[in-house]
Amino acid sequence: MAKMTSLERVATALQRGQPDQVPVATLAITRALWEIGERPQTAIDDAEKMAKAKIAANENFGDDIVVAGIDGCFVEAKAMGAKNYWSKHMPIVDTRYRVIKSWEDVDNLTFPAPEEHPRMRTVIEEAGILMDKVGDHIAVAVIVSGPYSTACNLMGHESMFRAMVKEPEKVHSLLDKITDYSIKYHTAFKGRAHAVALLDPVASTEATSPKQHEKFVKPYLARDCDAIAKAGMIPINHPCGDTTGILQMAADVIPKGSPGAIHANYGDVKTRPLSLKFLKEVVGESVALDPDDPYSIMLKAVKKMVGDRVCVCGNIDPISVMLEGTPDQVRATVKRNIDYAAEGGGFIVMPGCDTNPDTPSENFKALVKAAREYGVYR
Amino acid sequence: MVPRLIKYIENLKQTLVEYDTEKAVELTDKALSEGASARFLISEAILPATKIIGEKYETGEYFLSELVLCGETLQAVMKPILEHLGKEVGKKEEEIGKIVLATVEGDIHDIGKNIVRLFLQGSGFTVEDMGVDMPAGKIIDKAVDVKADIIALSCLMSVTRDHVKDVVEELEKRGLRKDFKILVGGRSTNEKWAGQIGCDKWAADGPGAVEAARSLVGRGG
Ligand code: B12
Repeated sequence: MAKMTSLERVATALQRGQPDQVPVATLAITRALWEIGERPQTAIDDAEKMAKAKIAANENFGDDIVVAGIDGCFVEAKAMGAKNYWSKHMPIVDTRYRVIKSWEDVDNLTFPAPEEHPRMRTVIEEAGILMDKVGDHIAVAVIVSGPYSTACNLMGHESMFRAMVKEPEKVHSLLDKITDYSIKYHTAFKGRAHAVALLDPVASTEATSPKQHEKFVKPYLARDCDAIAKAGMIPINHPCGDTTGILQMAADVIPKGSPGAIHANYGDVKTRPLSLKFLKEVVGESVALDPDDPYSIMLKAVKKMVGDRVCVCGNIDPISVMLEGTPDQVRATVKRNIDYAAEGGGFIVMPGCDTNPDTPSENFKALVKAAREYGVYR
Repeated sequence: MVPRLIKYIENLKQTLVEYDTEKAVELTDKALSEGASARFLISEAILPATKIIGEKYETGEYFLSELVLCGETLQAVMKPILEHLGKEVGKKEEEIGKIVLATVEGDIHDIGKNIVRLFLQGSGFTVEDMGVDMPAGKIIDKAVDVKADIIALSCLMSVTRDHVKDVVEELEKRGLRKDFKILVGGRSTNEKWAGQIGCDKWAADGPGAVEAARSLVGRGG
């Protein structure tokens, strides 16, 4: 097959097609700033610097996707009044301060126009610059928050967990408002991003039950994805953690017949008995488990379960392999990932989540090199 | 024990597990007024209920919503029980123990920590929650300040496990190691590791944290 550009490769995979080779993303998102000698604290308000960093990381490591944004899980909540808190490298939401303390506060939420809110505007501009500079040949994605996780950031997680049982109607009306507003922000990337990745970490089964997922996550995320697809961009659903028990629903939010993807850690067969049970049910008792890599194997089950409907992304552990592993370990994990999930296309190899800024450059390079080496479709 | 009280105990256990706060408080009040001692209620209803809740969570029957609600129900019934306990031992209100709780430096995960807090408070501990991303020095300062019995640490990421160790080492450096018990938990931790780095106890979840904390202040079993 003729060599494709990165963009063609990613677009083909997102449509569940088979490109020239398995596309690869390093997810050196926060870390990209280190490549130009900046830090999140010094660059976050400067769209030019942010875009420059992402392009530099892409050039140094040679992957197929650049990602706009950095605090993707938190921007919507911050626009609606949540307080910023600087952890070492990441501006997160301070969950000790609650925007919604009682249901009356829902009526007083503010929804600034995305172009007018400084943080939202910077991310929109960053994506625009990436699209102008490299978007003709590299895929541009942006990270944003799913409505459910945004609601948790506004209410505090425990309050949300309580309210879903005690006052479900109130939760629905809150989620409805958040979804309307999120859609305004997410569709503002029209023409500036090829794909929109919805980060929804609280929706994983470590925190939310499948029953709750069905009621409080899926319908709102589906509406969001639908709007993103209608705006001409490709939605990527990222429930972050364990997807055992919610995998079908997580794939269902991608509009039928449209391109789209799922990306998560999917589950840890070493410490989560339910993940292991799921894996064995789908793949069979004979699966060979690698004690040093409890994540990759889940790809096999995920591809089998939902690979006919959505593109599957993952699943290299950002900590034990990318941060703490050696380049050889990274290579071996990439090879396993490709063996498990590349067949027939519809697969992008990448870490299971954003990587830690201290991840060694050699590991990012090893990731891309191994993908290029093992990932060629013949 | 009078058969009527035994019936209360069974019902109370069930309402705690089913997080029916109103009924649980009603049953607690009734049992206390009919002669049950606070200690009896704690050992025969509260602790067994926490255990059942923990098992339901482990097997995937309960999720976090249920844990939060159970934690709150526990907290509600512990109020009259503690007041009664105070009367029984002739003090205003007996304090089971004081805990300083924090997520360690570099780690911003707090969902699990907050649930553990609910359970600890629900079983009568006073908890000073310092939040996330807390350096060892600050945690220890606070523990000294409030005269805590236990320092409880949450750690979700393997890269931040060293910061749990920082707390142990800093305590040793300041000559304070014997003044506090250290309880640790969170996804990236386990019992063996916790022992190796010199923590006193590890627990898997909220109900486990209660059991561990009680044994650390000499109220186990
Ligand atoms: C939700 C979540 C987030 C949310 C956190 C929101 C919040 N306010 O807490 C957000 C999006 C902010 C987040 C960020 C990140 N996350 Co995160 N996150 C998760 C996720 C999906 C669920 C965690 C959770 O809340 N679980 C539910 C609670 C109830 O479980 P728990 O915390 O384990 O708590 C229970 C027990 O452990 C115990 N316990 C907890 N604390 C204590 C304390 C004591 C004293 C005791 C006795 C017991 C105890 O009791 C609790 C109740 O049962 C996990 C996935 C996973 N597989 O765990 C990843 C995960 C923890 N995150 C991970 C990573 C890598 C990150 C990021 C670095 C990603 C990134 N690059 O952006 C950042 C971290 C930034 C930082 N510096 O901390 C990794 C860690 C991997 C590792 N091996 O270290 C995980 C495992 C995902 C993965 N597989 O890659 N994350």
